[in-house]
Amino acid sequence: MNTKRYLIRIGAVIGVVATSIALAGCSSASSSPKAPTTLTIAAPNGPNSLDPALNGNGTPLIWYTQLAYEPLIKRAADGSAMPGLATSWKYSADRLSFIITLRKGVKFSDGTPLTAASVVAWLQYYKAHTSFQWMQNVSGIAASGALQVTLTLSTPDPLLPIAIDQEGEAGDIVSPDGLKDPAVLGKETHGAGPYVLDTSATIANSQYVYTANPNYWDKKDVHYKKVIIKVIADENSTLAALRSGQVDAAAISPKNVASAKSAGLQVTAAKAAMAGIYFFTLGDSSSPLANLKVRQALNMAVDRKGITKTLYLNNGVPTTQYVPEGMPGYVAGLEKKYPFDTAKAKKLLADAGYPNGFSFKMVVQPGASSQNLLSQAVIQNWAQIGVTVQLTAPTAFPDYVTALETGQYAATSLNFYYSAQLTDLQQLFTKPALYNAFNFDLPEANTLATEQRKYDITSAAGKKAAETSETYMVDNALAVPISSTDTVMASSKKITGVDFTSAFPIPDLTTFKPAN
Amino acid sequence: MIKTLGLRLLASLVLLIVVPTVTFWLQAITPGNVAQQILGIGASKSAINTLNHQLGLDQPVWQRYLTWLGGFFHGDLGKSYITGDSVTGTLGGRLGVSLSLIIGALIVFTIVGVGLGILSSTGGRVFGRVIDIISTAGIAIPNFWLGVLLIGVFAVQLNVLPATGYVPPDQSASGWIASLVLPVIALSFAGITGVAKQTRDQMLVSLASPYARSLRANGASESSLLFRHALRNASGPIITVIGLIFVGALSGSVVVENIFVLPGLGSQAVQSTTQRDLPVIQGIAVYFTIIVVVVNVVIDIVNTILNPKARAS
Repeated sequence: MNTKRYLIRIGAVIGVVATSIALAGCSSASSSPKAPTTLTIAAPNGPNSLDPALNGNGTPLIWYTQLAYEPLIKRAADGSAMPGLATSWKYSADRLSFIITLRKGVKFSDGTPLTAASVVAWLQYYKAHTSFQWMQNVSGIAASGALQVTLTLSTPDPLLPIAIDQEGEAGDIVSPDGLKDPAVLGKETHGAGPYVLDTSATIANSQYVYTANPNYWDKKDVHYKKVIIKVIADENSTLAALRSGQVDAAAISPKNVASAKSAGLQVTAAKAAMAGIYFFTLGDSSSPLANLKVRQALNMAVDRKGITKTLYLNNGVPTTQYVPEGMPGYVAGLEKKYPFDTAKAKKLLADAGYPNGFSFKMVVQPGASSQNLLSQAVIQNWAQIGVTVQLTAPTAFPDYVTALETGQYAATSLNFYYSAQLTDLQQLFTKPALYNAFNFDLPEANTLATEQRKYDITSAAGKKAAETSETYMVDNALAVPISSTDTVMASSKKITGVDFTSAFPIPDLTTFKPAN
Repeated sequence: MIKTLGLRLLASLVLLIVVPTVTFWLQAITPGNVAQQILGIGASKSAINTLNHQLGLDQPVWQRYLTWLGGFFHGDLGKSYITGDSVTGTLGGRLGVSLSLIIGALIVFTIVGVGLGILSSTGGRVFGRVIDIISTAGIAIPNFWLGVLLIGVFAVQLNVLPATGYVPPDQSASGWIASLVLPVIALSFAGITGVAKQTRDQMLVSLASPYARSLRANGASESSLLFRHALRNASGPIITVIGLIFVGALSGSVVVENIFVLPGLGSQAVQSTTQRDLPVIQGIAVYFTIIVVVVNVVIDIVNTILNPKARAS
C-alpha cells in the first residue's frame, strides 16, 4: 500500500477518534446549562487574604470575605446602612462613644452563638492586626450588655458605620473558634455569612468555592447552593468565559461593552472611582509641586475630556473633583475650575517662576489596567507646557512600594474607589494619611478633617463640611483628578440583582439571584 | 548503557540542587518587601518588622538558604508566605494540571510532527514547500495569540469547547480531554512544525542514502523501508529536537495556562513571583527541574534503544 495514503488514513482515524471524545466531553463541560443552584463569578485577582483584617477593602476584593462573613452593618446598593449582625447603632451625644446592638439568635457557621463577647474579641484582634485606618480613633472596645458593644473614641469619627460594613470589613465578625488559631484564617472562613468556604474544592488564586451556610440567620436570603469565584487575570479570557456561559457575571473594561452586549449579556455600570494624579511632595519647599500656581497650571494643562473619552469611552466623565456627582461634598461649580487651556497654563507656570518648565519623576500604581495609559496621556499634555516627567511603571505591588521607599518619585497615578468625601481627605491630604508617603503637613486639611468628623456624613452640617473640604482640595489643586470612571459589570440574563450605584460602587454578591 | 544512565542520574541530582539554588539567590538579591506586600501600603513599620521576623526574613541570606536546603533534603519545601499553606500542598494539586498540558503537548507534537514530516518527505516538492511555510508560521505565531484565536472561534463562536478552566480526570474523563484540546493545540503548534521540519530533513537524507537504495533493490516494501529503516536511522536528531522543543514548551505553558485559566504550576509561578512568595517559587523551580530531568532521561533511553550507535558512547 502507498505509504502516504496509509499515513493519511491513520491520521484521519486518530483525528476522528480524538474529536469525538472531545465533543462528547464538551456536551458535559460547556454547553450543558448551568444549574441555577450555582453562581459563578470571575474576578481578576485573588484576595490578599481571607482574613478580613488583612484583605483589601474598599475594592472588589471584598467579594471573597462578604460571602462568608456577615458584617455588622450591610450597605445597600444606594449607600444606605442596613442592619446586618447589628440591628441598631448610634453615637452618644458627645460623639465619643458608638453603641452597637446585636441581632438575637445568630449562629456562626461552626454553630457557636454570636455574643457581645465574641464581637469584642474580634474587634480587638482586628485592631491589633490590621494595617488599615478604620479603627484608628477607637480607644476602647467593651461589651456593655449581653448583645451590646460600646466603642470608645479618642476623637469623633463619623466613618465608623462604613468601617463596620462590608466595605471596611472591620465588622466582618470572625467566630471565637476562628480566632483560636488566626493562622487558619488565611485559608478557611469562620463567619456568620450566607456561605462558607469549601476548602477542599478551593484552589488558592485559582478558584474559591463557597457552599450555603446551614446556620445563616436569614435563610430565605440565600439564593444559591454554591458560589464559585474564578480568578481570571486576562480581560479577554474573562470576556470569553462570559460569552460562552462559563461565568455568570464579571467586571469588564469599557472597550468590551459592545462585545458583551452583542453576546446577549446585561451590562450594568455606575461611577466607581476617581482616576488622576497625586503629588507626594506638597510639603517639600524645593519641589515645584509645592507651589500653588504650578499645581494649578498642571491642572489646566490636562485635556480631561479627550483623555476620558479615549480611555474610558462611554464609561467615564471628566472631573476636577474627588467625589462623584450625587455624593455629599460634590460642588457642581468646581467643575469649571480648571478649563483645558495650554496657553494660560504656560503663563501661570511662568508667573510661578518656571518659564522654562521643570521635570520630575512619576510612578504608576499597578492594579488598574488603564493607569499606565492615563499617566502617559497626562505626561504628553504636560510636555506642552514644558514640564517633563520620567515615568516608571512597576508591574507588581511590591515593586511599587519599593519605588515609593526610594523617595525619588514626586507623583503617582491614582485610582481611588469612591467612599465618602472624608475618606478622600483622610487618606490623601491629612497628616498622617495612607497616601501621604513623605508626610507633608497641610494645617488647613487637618482642620477641615477635624471639623467634618463632628457630623454624620449624610446630615446637613456634614454635607456642608464635606463641600467646604472638597472646595479647599480643588481650589488648592492639591492633586489632579481627571476622570470619574465606571465599574462595568456584565452578567448573564439568567441572574438579576446586580445592583450598585456610585454611593456604593462595589456590587454585593449576596444580592445576586436567579432570574425568574 | 547502565553506566550512561547512572552518570545521567547523577548529573540530574546535581541539577536538582543547582537550579533552586540559583533561583534562591536571584530572588534574594531582588529588592522587594514580602511583609509590605502582605500587609499593604498603610502598614506600620513595627507590623512589618514583626511579620518579617515571623517569616524568618530578618535572618542573613546564607542562613535562610541553609534552612531551605536543610528542609529540602528532608522533603520539606516550606510554607507559602502568603497563604501559610505548605508548598507541597499548594503545588501538589497543580502538578497534575501542568503535566496533563505539557505531556499532552509532547505527545501531540511528537506524533503529528513526525507524521507530517514523513508525509512531506515522501510527498512531492509541493508538500514539502507547504510544510516549510507552515513551519515558519508555527515559529512566528505566538502561542498566546493562537490561544485567544482558538478560544474566539471554538469556544465563543461555535461553543463546542470550553473557553477556560480545567476539569480533573476523576471528575469527568471526557470533560478533562475537552478542557485540554485547545490549550494543547496552542502549546504544541510551534513544536509540531519544528519536529516536522527536522523529521522531513532527516528522512530525506536517510531515503537518499546508499543503504536505502540497496534495500529497495532487494525488494523491500516502501513502508518497511520507511518505518523500520529510514525512520530509525533518522531518529537521533529528531529525538534531540523533541527534547529541546519540550523544554521550550515548559516555559510556553506559563502563558498558555494564563490564557486558558488552567490552575497549573505556570500560573502559580506568575502569581508567586509578583507576590515575592519565595518558598513557592523555589518549589516550582524544583518541580520543573524534576520534570525536565525525567523527560530527558526518558528521551535518552528511547534514543539508546533506537540507535545502537548511541549505546556505545
